[in-house]
Amino acid sequence: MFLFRSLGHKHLNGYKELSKHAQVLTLEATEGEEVYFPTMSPNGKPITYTVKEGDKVKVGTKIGARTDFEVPIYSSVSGKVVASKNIYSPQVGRPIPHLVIQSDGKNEEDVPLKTVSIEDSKEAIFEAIKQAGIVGMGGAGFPLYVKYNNVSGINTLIVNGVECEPFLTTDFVVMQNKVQELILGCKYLMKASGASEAIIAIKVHKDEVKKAVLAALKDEKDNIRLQEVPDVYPMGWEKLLIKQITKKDYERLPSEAGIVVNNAQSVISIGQVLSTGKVVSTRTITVSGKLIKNPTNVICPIGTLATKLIDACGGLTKEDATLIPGGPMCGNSVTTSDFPLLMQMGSLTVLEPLKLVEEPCLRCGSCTAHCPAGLQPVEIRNAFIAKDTDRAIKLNVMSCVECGLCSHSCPSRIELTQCMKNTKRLVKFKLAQAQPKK
Amino acid sequence: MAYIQSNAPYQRRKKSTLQIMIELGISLGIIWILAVVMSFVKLGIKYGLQSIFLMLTSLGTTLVCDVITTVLKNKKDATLKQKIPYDLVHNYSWITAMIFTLCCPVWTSYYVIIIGSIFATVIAKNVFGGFGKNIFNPAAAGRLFVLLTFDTSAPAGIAGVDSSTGATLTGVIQSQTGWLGSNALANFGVKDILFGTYFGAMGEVFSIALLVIGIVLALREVINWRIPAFYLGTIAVSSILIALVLGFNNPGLYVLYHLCAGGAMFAAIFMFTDPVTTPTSPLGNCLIGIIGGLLTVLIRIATNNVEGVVYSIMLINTISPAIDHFITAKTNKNTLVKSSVTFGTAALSVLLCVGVAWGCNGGREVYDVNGIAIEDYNLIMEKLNLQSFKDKNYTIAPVEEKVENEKLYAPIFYKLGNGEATLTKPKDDVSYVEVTLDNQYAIIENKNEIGMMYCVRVNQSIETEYGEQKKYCIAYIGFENSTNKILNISVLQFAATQNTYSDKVNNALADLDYSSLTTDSLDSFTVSGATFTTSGLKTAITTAYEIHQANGGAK
Repeated sequence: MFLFRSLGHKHLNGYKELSKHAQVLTLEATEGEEVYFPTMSPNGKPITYTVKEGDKVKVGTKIGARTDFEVPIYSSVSGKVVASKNIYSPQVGRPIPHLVIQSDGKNEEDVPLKTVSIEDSKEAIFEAIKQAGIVGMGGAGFPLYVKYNNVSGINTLIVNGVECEPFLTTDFVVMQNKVQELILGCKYLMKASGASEAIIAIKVHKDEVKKAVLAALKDEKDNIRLQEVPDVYPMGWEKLLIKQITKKDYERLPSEAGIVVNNAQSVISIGQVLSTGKVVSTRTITVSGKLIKNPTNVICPIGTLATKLIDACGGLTKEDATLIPGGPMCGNSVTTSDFPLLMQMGSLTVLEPLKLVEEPCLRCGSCTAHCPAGLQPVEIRNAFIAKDTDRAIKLNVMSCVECGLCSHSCPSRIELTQCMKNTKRLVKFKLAQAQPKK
Repeated sequence: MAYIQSNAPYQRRKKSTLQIMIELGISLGIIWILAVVMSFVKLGIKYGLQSIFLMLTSLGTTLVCDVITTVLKNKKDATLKQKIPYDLVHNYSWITAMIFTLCCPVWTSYYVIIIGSIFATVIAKNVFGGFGKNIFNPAAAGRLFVLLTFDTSAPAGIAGVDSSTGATLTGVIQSQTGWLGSNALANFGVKDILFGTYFGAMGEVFSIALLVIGIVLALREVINWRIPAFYLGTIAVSSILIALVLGFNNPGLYVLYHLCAGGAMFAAIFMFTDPVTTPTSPLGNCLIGIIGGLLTVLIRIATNNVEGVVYSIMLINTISPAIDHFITAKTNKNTLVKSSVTFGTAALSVLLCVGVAWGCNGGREVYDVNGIAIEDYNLIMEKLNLQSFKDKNYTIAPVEEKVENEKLYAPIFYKLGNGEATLTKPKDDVSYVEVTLDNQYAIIENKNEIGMMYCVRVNQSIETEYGEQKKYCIAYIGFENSTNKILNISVLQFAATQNTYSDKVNNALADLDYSSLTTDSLDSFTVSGATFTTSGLKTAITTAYEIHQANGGAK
């Protein structure tokens, strides 16, 4: 009942119209342009590269792999490997060495990967997914194949095209143009997971996508369907999405409820890679925000510097700005635009810098009312101030997803999300300390 | 070009704390304007202006307090000059001042408002660390302080304006019947209650306006909707069950009184929802609303305090940290435990209220003579026969036919000095007397009607060296028909506060030798006791004698 439950979501002003219908720009790698590949995964584990300085590569040449997961990394341009450079990595949060490939401007393609068809066995499709090297394109960058590794009892595939972050329109643009690949990807993933139905979830008011998907679904069997979800944040969080669509709840992973969730662009890429053998070498990125001159979506090779995209969109309208790789809610601002755009990054948002004056907490409970994870940020903050980790654990701080709604809804402008992050760090530290040394 | 880094998220809600407080201030302003208009219309220029100046006084006092606190806090700070105007706005004491003033009746003295504002701002708020740190609702703390330290009941002048609505609603309830008297509120109709045409605290009477403002504020996310909803819900369910169990004539009206009178509606919207002193989680809000409603109803029906609301605010303030502490479960899960806890609390609260009401009412009928509705006197007669009358083997019977002399039978008001006072000359220090004949009965001894008993109510103000004091006296005086001699006197209520001296006086009266007592010998009649006066009783006896004579007693 609504009486004792917190709301757990909020309608945000999406500002989607800024880039929604703008002409999509395509940036080809020109001669001499450099693309960058980080030597560290988001979780801090190293990435090993098999190419060395001076090696020639083509689009689709395997240049390395992650060490924590079996994710191959392919070159996005043709050219040669040059000396590695230390540049900022938004995923790691500090400058790290990057592998640099200098483009020759030709964009020659390497031998395509092995293709599979829907009729092939589950194992063959799984191997192909693994080989494709796709990571979640919603932002987390979690390898896609892991969700299909030895899964059983999956009955539903949910394609997450919700895109609840403000300003982002990349899913909107890509889903409209690549409906066939989307449905193909659904079929591959349904086969790989054993799911009997697929649900494509989009927000209400995305009429163009709805029209395109429904038109494509006309000739399909009715085990793939479209579902519209309310325009609230964070509807794209899989827990909330599953709850909204299936009314099911789970503790840790969606597979507990027999569900697997994938980002719409990941699914499209699966459809593309598995049927054609061409690796994912470009990414559609929304460059938007109040301070971007011409907000739009840009297709660019993976590893392109953000500076290039911002310049392509006409640059900034003001000197001082805040640049966020990602959306304004979950993203973290950076001090430089010289960082590469990787497969999992879908947007650049440039906003006015925040000028906030913090007031004392008035205990209005707005953060608690809006927390999608059902936490009480105000209480967790008190526990953090008191350095009371036991209470913070009791208040389930570890299930915070850092969606940013607590800070957003706080009328006193308290940096609650930052406080949650700090509390989580403190709790992790305390837990690690408490463990007996081996 | 520079990229400026800050903490995520970068899109923030537009509504700030200042804006929330401004919206709250505007709402309070609307209520205040209504109060000013009503004061001008009903009480004239003096009190109209007073309603304006009381608010200004309170605002001024709190702002001065805030400046002093800020200066003391930041004595060595170089930015003190910038801090003072910031703190004036952002300590939000002006909201406290507005709520506090609207909690007080319009005839409150200026010094009372000043002292209350100082208490609310300094003691209840700034001492704890200012806005957001206080544990008690500052306005409620100030109001309670004033309630306990000063007499804020209506002065005599107000009562003279309009006898039927002169006192505050809660004042009427307090002095006459308590919340359980079935005819407690005969003078106050549904219209009065809803549109606030009666007197009470400045802000509490405009129930419809309050309700509308409450709904608007809840929709605009300025106040939490759960607390008022559960608070008023608990009061409504409890009071309707009380009305049904005790068999009141008009349960709907009774519920309305409970919801609207005594500031329940005002407090539900502006004081219970004070976010600083209430829990933060949705479940906590529900619980605090239910517990608040329970306390309000319990304090109203089971104690001598009709103003249950302000006490219940302070009490829930004390338990809200505990509620916050114990609710650690996820707030988006709606487990069975959660609903059962809430509904269990609600059910227990309502049962408790009804049980206590039933018990209190039963008790009242047998033992507690004080504070019973006039119409219920007959009932008491049958059950009690007023002990001292009973001791003398007298039986009391209601007189059916009306007395001919309407002038004396109707409530008699007379003010000293305006030429109308003709009955008797009270003592010099009596500034105002109001004498009412409540009822009359025949005294029966051995089946013969031997005399008449008059229930006389005297309400007088006396100038003492400590200021104006109020003395009440409700007495039953029996006269023998043939001789005009006093047969017996019994006191229902005596002296300034209820219930205090009536036993003592009745004991003294029982020792009197009535066979030799006449009205002429009254001057020699005194009841020993240092702190109470018998002048009210004398006035009552004298008046009863006059009425008895006019009624056709022996001339």
